Amino acid sequence: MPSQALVKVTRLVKVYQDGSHVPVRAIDGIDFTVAAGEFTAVAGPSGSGKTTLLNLIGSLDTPTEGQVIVAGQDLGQLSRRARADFRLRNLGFIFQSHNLIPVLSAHENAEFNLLLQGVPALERRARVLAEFASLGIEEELTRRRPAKLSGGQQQRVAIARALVTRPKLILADEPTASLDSKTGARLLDKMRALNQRTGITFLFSTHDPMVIDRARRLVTLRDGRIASDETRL
Amino acid sequence: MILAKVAWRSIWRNPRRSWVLISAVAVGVFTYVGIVAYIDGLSLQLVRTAIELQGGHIQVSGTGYFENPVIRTQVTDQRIVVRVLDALKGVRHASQLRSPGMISSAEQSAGVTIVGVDPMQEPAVSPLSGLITEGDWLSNDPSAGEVVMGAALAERIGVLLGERIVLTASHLNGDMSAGAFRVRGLFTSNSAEYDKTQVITHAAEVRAMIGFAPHAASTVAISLGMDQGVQEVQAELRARLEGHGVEVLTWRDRSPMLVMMDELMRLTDVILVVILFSAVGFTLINSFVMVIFERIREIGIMAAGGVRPGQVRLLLFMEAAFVVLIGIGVGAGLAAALIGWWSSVGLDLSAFAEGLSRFGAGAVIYPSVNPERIATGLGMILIMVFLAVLYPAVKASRFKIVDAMSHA
Repeated sequence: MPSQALVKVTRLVKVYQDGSHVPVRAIDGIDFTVAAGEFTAVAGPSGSGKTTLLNLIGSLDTPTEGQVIVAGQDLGQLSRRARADFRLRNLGFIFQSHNLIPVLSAHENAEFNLLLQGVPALERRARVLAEFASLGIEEELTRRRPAKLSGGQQQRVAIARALVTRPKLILADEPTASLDSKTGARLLDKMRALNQRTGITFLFSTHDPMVIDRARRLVTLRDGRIASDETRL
Repeated sequence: MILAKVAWRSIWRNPRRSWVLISAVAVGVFTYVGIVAYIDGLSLQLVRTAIELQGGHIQVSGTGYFENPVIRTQVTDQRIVVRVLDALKGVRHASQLRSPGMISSAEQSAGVTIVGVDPMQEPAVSPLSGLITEGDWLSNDPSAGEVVMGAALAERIGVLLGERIVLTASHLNGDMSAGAFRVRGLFTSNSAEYDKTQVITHAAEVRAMIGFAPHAASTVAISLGMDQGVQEVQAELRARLEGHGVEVLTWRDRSPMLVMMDELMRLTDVILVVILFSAVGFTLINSFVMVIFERIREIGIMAAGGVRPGQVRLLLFMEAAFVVLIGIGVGAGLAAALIGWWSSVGLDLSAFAEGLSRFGAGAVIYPSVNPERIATGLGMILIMVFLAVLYPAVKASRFKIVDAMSHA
């Protein structure tokens, strides 16, 4: 069951300049925690700040004000290089689409981060094959490049890539947006099963009802603020 | 290494663009290697002529002879020099007697340098005996009364092989001295100037004409076989011959113009690389800006996954390096084929032969590949490529990840 805070966000503010140089408060003073092992969805209408919040938690962007602590590390204290290392060691990302490196095969894409981590070849192979098996990626697909895979197959490879490094936190930004509902539902069920089996924390940004239905906690944003925060049984 | 794999495969995403880049590098390398081989060949021929026809790698003469080559300035006892030289390994040597004089045929006269040599020893330091185009090299008979001279000189004074000429020179006692000789051989060297001004005969004849003492010589020419170790041998000779009234000069000391020309030619390498590869560099910058523009989102995805900014730069440097190394391979291969063919046939510059011959280069230039210079040039090319890719690579590594990932 979820226990100590894996993510702690304090008075988080992110201000953008829009096209006419008018400041826009995409995140407007959010306080928020995510416990280890949660399967949480951040929902809200377009422009509510869901993706911005995930980007800040994932150290892909820097806040205007406030603090983000992930796995005990204050991300604001890290250099660009240290942030890259932190992401490599602690985080997994699943994006909406076009997630994979086009010149690498499915297998090479999945083991990409393991190679950067310096994991030995035998262990890399074992981990990738295990994730592929658990996600139902057939052997014949492993040598194909992304262009030869369907959208659902690509997304499963992207999930495998996010999982093989055994991250503490997986940030999934609209992971089902480019998938048909059947494929999306199947992938979500697999992610939820993984969450239950391994305890990996999942944090989704979504407005897909399928994701919202499966989340055990639903945080709703509106105009950069938390409008509601509901935990389900 | 996974980044190398990504880099290698990435260059084949757009094969046409990659081949244009590879071709640009290959043409640049081919041109560079070809020109450098030509320049080196020319330089080598000039130096070889200077060494072989003008006193060897090192020349021992009476002190002040190089500045003012008069007959009174002599190596008074060449046996001392010869003894020192015989003790050194890999050193060949021959003594010469030199005097300004006049050559006269039945038709014409001309000012020349009369050079007295030992016909057996001279081939150790000079290629003249092998450059005879008509007749023969001097015989071993010191009283045969024969000379060899440049074919150009023979033509100038209107003398044919086997005909007689008269050499006139000043005796050391101030009198005029003359002797009649038969033309035994005509030579053609790389130096038109040499061919028009040198008359070679037996040392004994010159000794008698000029009045040199039995063991005196104007110069002792020393050949080392190759140009390495010249300064070490010079230093050793200077030390051993100190106090004997001689000067020990290398070909570099005697031919400062040639040294300057050699240095200028080396500078040409740098200028060539900069000119040739500035154009290639701008093509690379342009291409890599395009490459990055096309792959902004992909770079963002990689950075999000944990690829460091330095690894993004490394990725792009590797892509550029692969393209350039293929280009260098293709260019160097084509250049090697050209140089191989060119080495066997030579580059015939007969149209400009007079000018080249005046400088001692000959009419046919054979390329010379100096691996160190070629490697230095190719190293400079790699540095220029590195500089060309630096801007796009740094730009790519500084993308804001969120901006990069939202790029279509």
